[in-house]
Amino acid sequence: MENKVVLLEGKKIKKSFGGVHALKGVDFILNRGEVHALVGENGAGKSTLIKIFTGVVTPDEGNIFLNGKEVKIQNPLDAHLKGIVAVYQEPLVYPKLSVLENIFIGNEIRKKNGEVDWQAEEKKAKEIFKSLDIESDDFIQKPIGKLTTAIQQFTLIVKALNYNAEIIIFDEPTAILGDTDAQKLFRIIKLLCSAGKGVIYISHRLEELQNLADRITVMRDGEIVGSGNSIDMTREKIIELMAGKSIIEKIQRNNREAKKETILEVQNLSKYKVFENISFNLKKGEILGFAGLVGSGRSEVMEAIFGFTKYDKGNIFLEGKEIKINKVSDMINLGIIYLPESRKLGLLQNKSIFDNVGLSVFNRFLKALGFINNDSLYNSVRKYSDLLSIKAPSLFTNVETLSGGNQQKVLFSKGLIAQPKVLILDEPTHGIDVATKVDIHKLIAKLADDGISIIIVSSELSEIIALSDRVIVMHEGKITGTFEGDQITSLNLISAFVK
Amino acid sequence: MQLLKRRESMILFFIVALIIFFSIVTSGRFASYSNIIQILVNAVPIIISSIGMTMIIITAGIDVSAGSVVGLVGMTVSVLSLQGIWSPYDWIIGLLLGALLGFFNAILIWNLKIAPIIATLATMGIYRSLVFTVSGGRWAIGMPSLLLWIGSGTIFGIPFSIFLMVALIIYFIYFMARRVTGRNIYAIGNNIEAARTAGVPVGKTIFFIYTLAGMLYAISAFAILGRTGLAQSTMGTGFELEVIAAVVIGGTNILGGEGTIIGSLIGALLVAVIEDGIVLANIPPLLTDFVLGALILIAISIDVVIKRREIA
Amino acid sequence: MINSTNNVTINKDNSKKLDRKTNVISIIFLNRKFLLLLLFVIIYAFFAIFAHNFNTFQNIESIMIFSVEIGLLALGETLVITSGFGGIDLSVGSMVGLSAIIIGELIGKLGVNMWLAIIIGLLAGMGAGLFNGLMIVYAKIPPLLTTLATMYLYSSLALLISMDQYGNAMPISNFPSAYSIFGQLTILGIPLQFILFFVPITIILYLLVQKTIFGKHLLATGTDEIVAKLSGINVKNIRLWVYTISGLLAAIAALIETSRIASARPDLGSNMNLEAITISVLGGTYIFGGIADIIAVFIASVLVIVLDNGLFLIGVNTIWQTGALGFLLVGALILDLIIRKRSS
Repeated sequence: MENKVVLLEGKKIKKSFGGVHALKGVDFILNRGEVHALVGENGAGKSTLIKIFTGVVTPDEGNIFLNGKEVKIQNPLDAHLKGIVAVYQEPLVYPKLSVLENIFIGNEIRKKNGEVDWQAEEKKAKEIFKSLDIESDDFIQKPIGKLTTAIQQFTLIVKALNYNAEIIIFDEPTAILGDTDAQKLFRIIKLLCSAGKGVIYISHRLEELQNLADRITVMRDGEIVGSGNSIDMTREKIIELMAGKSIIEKIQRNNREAKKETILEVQNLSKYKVFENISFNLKKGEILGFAGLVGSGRSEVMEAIFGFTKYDKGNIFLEGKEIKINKVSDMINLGIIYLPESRKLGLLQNKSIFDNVGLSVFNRFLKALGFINNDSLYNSVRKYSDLLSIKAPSLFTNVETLSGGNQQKVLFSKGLIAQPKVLILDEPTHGIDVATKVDIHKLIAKLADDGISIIIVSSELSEIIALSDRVIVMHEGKITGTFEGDQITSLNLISAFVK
Repeated sequence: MQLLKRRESMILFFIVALIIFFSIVTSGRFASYSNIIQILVNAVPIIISSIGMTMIIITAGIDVSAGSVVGLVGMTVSVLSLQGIWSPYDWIIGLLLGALLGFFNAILIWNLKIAPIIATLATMGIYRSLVFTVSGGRWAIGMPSLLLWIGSGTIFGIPFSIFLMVALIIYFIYFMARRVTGRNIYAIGNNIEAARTAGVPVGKTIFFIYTLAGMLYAISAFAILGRTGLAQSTMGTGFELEVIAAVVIGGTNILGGEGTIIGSLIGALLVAVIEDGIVLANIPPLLTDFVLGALILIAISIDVVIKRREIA
Repeated sequence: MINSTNNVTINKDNSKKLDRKTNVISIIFLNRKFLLLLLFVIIYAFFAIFAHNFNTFQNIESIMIFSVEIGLLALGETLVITSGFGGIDLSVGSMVGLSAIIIGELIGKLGVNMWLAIIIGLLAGMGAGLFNGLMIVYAKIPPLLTTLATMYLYSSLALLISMDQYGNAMPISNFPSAYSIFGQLTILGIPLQFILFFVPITIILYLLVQKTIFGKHLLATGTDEIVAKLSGINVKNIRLWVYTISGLLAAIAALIETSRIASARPDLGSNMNLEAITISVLGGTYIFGGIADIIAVFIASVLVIVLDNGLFLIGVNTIWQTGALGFLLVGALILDLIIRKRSS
């Protein structure tokens, strides 16, 4: 490749979501015919950058250039028309329609009388598939919902090419593909590049990137921390860049070192195709961190422990006694509380703080005949909302009017009012301003000191490192590492969850 | 053209079985030529309306105002023709009226974002009361024969309405398979967000299907008028339920995304066969509703079971 | 583990009052009850002026009588819609007919003790409602289709039960005189069914939804099923209950209606479905679930009957009642849309 032609360029792109800086001024260049890989842990800003290029969100500041000319990408349809298409892990398709239709809906080839020209469409589709070295005869007429994810992805690629896409973005495509399909995908990507397209490829599988990518860029905390030819970016270098140099301060804790008894034990928990042989134990007053990438299965493990979903095999013991049937209401009564990762899953948006905090524990505040003892419940809710300094006009305000940080505090109150023995937190400070983050971290530490055992699932390494006594790393459904004390460093953790 | 899928074959088999059953029970009267024609004639209004209803349900919508539209168009056109207004073109007024009523449904659903069930429940009531305004409470009888001819005239001994129905079916099978709007209907039912991002004109398509449905209900009204020769203010009551039953039994998924005109045709035939057979076999006609209700439940249960097997 | 907070020193009275006050002021603007009451006053005044014999004791009694049957159905519909998942019950009218004919046959044809027959009739209504619930919750058939099908099923079942040997539907009329207390008795001028059935049931349902754990769980289930499940709420049970209650209320409506007209016909209630749903939506019930205002539905029931009654007295044909209902429904929905747009 002699001359590099710049296909897509982003200059000084900034984007914030409600006070949280997702992108702090990013410069990015994609050349024609190259595969440019984007690497970084969750929250580094990769997906926000992609969302800007595909028109899902618009940047607060900064410029985008396409083939040298400045453009504004208003929405996903606009991005399509400008030739930028993204293929996600879970492909967006019309499940009951055939592969052929999925390619051409919205962009049909018509005959002179206005009707759809199926023959021409089939011919063109097969041609494009062929240019990617795929034989499409046997599946092109089948409903896409019944075909493999790989074929669905290939179909979306063909659809993109049919739209004359110049830039194709892949977001972790191989996470659910088998090896053979992954290899097919790589060949296709190589073919795309030799046809002059540009590919942005997001992945954590570093070994893939060596062969596939021409250049690799590492992001952290909304900025680009390193970029270069893939030959120069070794695995060690990438991990180092992802981890960063800053030393994360561990939060003050009492009794950090003291060994305590085991309160929760999980043995060989498995769920087909989701997670496998998860075994760990949690000690009283301990903070156990679960690190890993989004999609590694951590939330799914917690949902299974909590009784929200079923698992295929395994055993769970609380304070030495086995939990045989797991229903959410039983778990709550036993003192295991799970606060889900998105506030949307944990709170009823159009209901009040009072109704939300009390939601799991109404059965503990009853008078006769199922009537709720509003007075004593109110006192309890007040106690926790004061404890957490929730800022709201009244406890009867709807939670949707509260800031993200305050909503998270409401969610916390909901968990604490249930007097948990084990508190499982999933992304407890996701999308929250720094000040509130610190408050919540201090609270978590205090809870642990007071004897509550805590599991934190988080994609923010700094959070995990600051809080955890021990860390378990999961990757693609399995436990890939356990670390304690001084061993808990960014470097170690990241090494455990990239391949 | 794709082969009939398993579901439609199953129902066809069922129909054949029923025909045999009823023939035995009625000592052959059921399978007579005149009775078969009668069944088809009775099925015509349901089949024609099921075309529009199929499209609507594919997009995960529903339209329970069908019966009221039939009544309103039927009564209006009868009254007009009796008073000699616009004859012999009063059927054009009927078509336009049906289109207008359907268009109004679309406004409620698309512009006011009212859920289809609620919107069409409301218009069901509004249109039904308008029937009375138009008729003044009287029956309409003795309409000029051109109007009735659509419903009862024959060509080579076969009623015109059957030809009309066949023509419409054939056209719309073609439409759903080969016209862009037809494919867009499926796209919307499968993944409305993807359709929107792909540039499919969702709003226009919604307006299209409800307006078209209104016109098809109008044609059904003509067919019913032709068969019965009179219009009263209860005309069309309960009609929508027959149509929805035909569509659902015929394999269109109430949650949207899939369904065929042929399937609804076969579903409607099944309904008509049952209704006719029950009367002819001296089984209490009250049993018809029971059978229809049970069939709907069975049909959907089968759908659900099949779907569960697919996911697992 | 009961949480005892009696020892916590909080200036409870003041802060609670402050909480409640702020709340009331913000809600008054969007309160459906007040809107309906206003509408009620306007419509009542209108008819009092323009309709003959509208504002008489006899007519008011009549309004109360007729609001009970449809009002009970509307309340049942409200619970069902509030439970979410596309909750709706198109079979309420048929359940009325079915319960009516069961009670009628038991008393009239089989000579069963009146009270026993009533109990069986109520159980039958609950059973029909439960069947709806089971299909929806376990067979996972969408409520619209399930109740569409059972609408057919139950009405034809009712007809079948009432059939004589020639296949004709025979109404039952030989009720004992004691049976008429439910639908024909008045206490101090107020119809018994209103003061002893409609009002108490409304109050019970209001308390149920607003003040009990069941109500909190129901509102949560309709608002967001996943959040509800993650909070330990048994969503399946809640749904089974609301459909069963809908059936029970239909049976009570059947009891009252058969008592009032002193006859049981299998087609009773056959055109009450639309009205029940409309009144519920008019009363502020959100079609996607999670929001319910029982008192507003009560007011809406009376309002609609006042409207029907007034139109009748003016001399407008009864068919216009349905039309007016349709317009009211659209109006209520447009209002909902405006309110929703304003708050977002």
